[in-house]
Amino acid sequence: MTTGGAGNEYPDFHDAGWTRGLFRPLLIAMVSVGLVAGPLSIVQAVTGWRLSYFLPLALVAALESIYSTGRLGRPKWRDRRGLLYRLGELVALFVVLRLLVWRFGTSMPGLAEFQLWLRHPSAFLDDQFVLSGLLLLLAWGLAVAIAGDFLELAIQPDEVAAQESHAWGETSSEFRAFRPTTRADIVGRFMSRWSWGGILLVFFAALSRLDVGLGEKGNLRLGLGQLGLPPEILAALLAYFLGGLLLLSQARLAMLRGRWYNERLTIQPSVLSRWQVSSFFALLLIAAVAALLPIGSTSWLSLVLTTVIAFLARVIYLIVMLFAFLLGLLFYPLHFLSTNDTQQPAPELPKMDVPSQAQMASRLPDWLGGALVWLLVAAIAAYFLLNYLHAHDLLKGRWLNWLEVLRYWWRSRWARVSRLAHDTAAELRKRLRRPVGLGGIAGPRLVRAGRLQPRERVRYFYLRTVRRAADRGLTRPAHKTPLEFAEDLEKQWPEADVDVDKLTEAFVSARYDRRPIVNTEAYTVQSVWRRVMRALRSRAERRKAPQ
Amino acid sequence: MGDFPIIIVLLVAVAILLRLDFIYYLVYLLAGLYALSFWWTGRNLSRLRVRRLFTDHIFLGETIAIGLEIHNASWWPVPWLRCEEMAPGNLSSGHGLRHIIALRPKERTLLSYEVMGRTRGYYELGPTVLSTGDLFGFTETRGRAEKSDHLTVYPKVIALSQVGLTSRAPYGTIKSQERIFADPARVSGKREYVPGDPLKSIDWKSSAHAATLQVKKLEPAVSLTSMVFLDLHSDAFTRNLLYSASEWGIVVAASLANYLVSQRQSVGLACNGLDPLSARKCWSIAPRLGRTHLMKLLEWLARVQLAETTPLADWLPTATLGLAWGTTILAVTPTGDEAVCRSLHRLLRAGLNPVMLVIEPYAHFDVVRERARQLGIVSHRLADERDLQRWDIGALRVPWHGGMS
Repeated sequence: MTTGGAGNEYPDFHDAGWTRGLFRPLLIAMVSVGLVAGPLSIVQAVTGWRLSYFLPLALVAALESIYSTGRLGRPKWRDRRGLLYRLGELVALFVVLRLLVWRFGTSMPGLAEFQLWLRHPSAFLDDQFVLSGLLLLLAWGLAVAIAGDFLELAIQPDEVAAQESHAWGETSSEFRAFRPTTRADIVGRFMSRWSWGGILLVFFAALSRLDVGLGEKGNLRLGLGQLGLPPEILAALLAYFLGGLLLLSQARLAMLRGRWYNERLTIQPSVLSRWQVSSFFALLLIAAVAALLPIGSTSWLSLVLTTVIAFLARVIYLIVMLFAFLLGLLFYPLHFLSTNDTQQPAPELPKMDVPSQAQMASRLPDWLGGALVWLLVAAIAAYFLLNYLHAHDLLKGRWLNWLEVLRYWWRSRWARVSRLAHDTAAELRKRLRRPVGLGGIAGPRLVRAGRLQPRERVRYFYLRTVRRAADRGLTRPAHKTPLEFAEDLEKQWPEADVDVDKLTEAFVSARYDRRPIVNTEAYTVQSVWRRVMRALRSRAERRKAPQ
Repeated sequence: MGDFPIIIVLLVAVAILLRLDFIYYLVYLLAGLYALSFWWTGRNLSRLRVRRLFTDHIFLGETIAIGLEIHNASWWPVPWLRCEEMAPGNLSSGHGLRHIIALRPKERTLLSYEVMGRTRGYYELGPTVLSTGDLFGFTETRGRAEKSDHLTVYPKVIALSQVGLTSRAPYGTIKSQERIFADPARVSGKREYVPGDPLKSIDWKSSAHAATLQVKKLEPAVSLTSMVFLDLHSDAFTRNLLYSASEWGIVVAASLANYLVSQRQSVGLACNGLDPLSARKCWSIAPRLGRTHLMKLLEWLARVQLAETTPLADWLPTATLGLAWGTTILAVTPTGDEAVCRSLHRLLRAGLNPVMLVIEPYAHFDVVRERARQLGIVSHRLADERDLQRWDIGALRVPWHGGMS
């Protein structure tokens, strides 16, 4: 157990004694790869693909994920965005996988493939890439989960704080460390994950003996292809179970270590140093003894068990048959209900949607959608990847300079685009801007005059008049008061000068006077407004007449 | 770990149903490991030998290390062993022994922890609690090394230089002023014969040499053969002083015994308290000389406890039957009540030399002293260490009288 950050008064605690070392990461990687080796052999057997690159890649992926999990668990990495980092990690792995699939599995893509991917992006995800990607994800995820379990099993900073605290002069604080998940639970979780994963692996091992093919009539043919297991499956089973047992021993050590630490027991260093050796030799001993025992069906135990199981199977079969017979007897009187000979109408064929000539002509280029998808995918992947590389401090030197240049270029382009968009939007707003009334009532067309209050109605009539004047080329300047503007109107419309005066006065009174305005007054103003409008219309008609 | 047997059973089923021979190997591996873990853990504890290495007698305030030697007598290693042993509460000077160790086959290891003798007593060390388990988390077992050892912490001993004790036993090593105790073996000089001197005191050789009758001058001497009677009858103590006064009584008895042995006098000890080792309630140790005998007395005093036993006044007549004439009886009693005084008076009349030492800070000690004086018994109040020192210093000022005071 060590702490980091020398010279710091309260350094971050990091259980380096537990997290350091190569033995445990190798075991975790072994178990993860062992688990995917089973399904991989099935895939190989069924499809006949060359997947020799996969296991080394899965091993690298597992080791990388263990390393990443360890780093993410460090106090200094707390602020790293875990999900982004993980996604970046996956993107990097899938990029490598894609390249390996092209290099070893299929063939390097040509121009035709690129064109195909532009039109149909899903064609990029071929079967081999998808299947091996899923298996890689499984290996990677298992390694992350197990590495996370073992990281949680280490001595945690809050436990150290609880033990080293001297609150109220006590040798230890009353506030003991609270662990939402106990170490026993974590070990149980690992154990459960490992054991059920083992059953799954055994199931795949059994499947690997099956011979899948097509019969003479084209139907699927299943058969027992071989008696024994393929060597790679044997290796995977051994790696998975032996590695898992050694990891189980490590988990046990971690659990005890945490318990001993919290109970302040003095631990002799030899306990920790001899643990791995002892567990390894115990396992070796049992493995050697097991190798000497009679294998499989030749042993008397197997024969006895086979007999017992066969007997039990027959008993269960008989019981099921008996129940089925009894049920049949029970429901026999009802059989006539299901014997009417009504013929089912033939299902209607779906109508074909034939596009019209116009629709065909208006369609965009077929590669555009695909290109957009690829752009989006590439941008997201690049973002994740850069985040990942940056977290690992891999972006240095020329790469970093290049990225910086790219970033500045993009920023300048983006700034230009945003400025252009801003200007365009401003221009558009300017064009679309409508005059707003003095009283702040916007959009008189949106208002129905009959539903307004008398005061609002007076203001509405005036504002309509002002708007109409603006349509006629006489816009009210913002600095002019209604009375000043009334003078302008009178100059322009001398035939309606009296009404304009009345309308303006009524508006000023409604806008700035607190006295109540009754309906009759509003009706009077309405008639004035109508006269003004009429005068304007006749003026306009007179102007048009000579033309 | 409850899933493990289920997994084995499932694998067996798969192996049988699918006839996969290699799965049998996995079954053997898992089941073997499971069985080995149980077998190994089960036998580990029974093959361990635990032995304590320590000094079993210490003085008050002394700190010693208790060593615990653990020997793995098996040919199998012990992957981890949790050893816990707590020191008795009064001796604890830390967390005791709380270690996790690993043992190779036939390996011995020595662990230790410290204890400090804070209070006199006879303490049991152990048992050592041991727990171990397997390497894979299938099983754990816990046991105790039942063999317990004992540690004796001697009571506090206050060094006394000269205590005002009297004796009526002749022919000892202590000078006396009583001519009646003149010791013919201790010739201090010669003088002229005067009529009336016994003929046996004439030194004929010196008379021949001086041509006049010379008489040997003999130095009187007494022996202070003593028996300390410690009253630990619980009813005799005032309730609220039960613990402190009884402990102080033990300190007084131990200090007196130490003083008398240092004066080369025989001293014995009798007590009506409980000895937990022998389960005796009224016991006595005959007066003997020497430091070995003193250590024996201190050991008994270390472990004696208060008990509801025979009151001292009732027990004294029978307890003093075997004592020689003139033996000084030092009765360390809490209150010096009338019954004790009368009992001591009977001893006085029987030719013994009783001294009553009252150890409780009794408010009416003058009454007790007067009663004792009237019965011809010397009494002292030794309620605390200061009283004891004062008694010691007073004796230095007042020379030895060699008789009853």
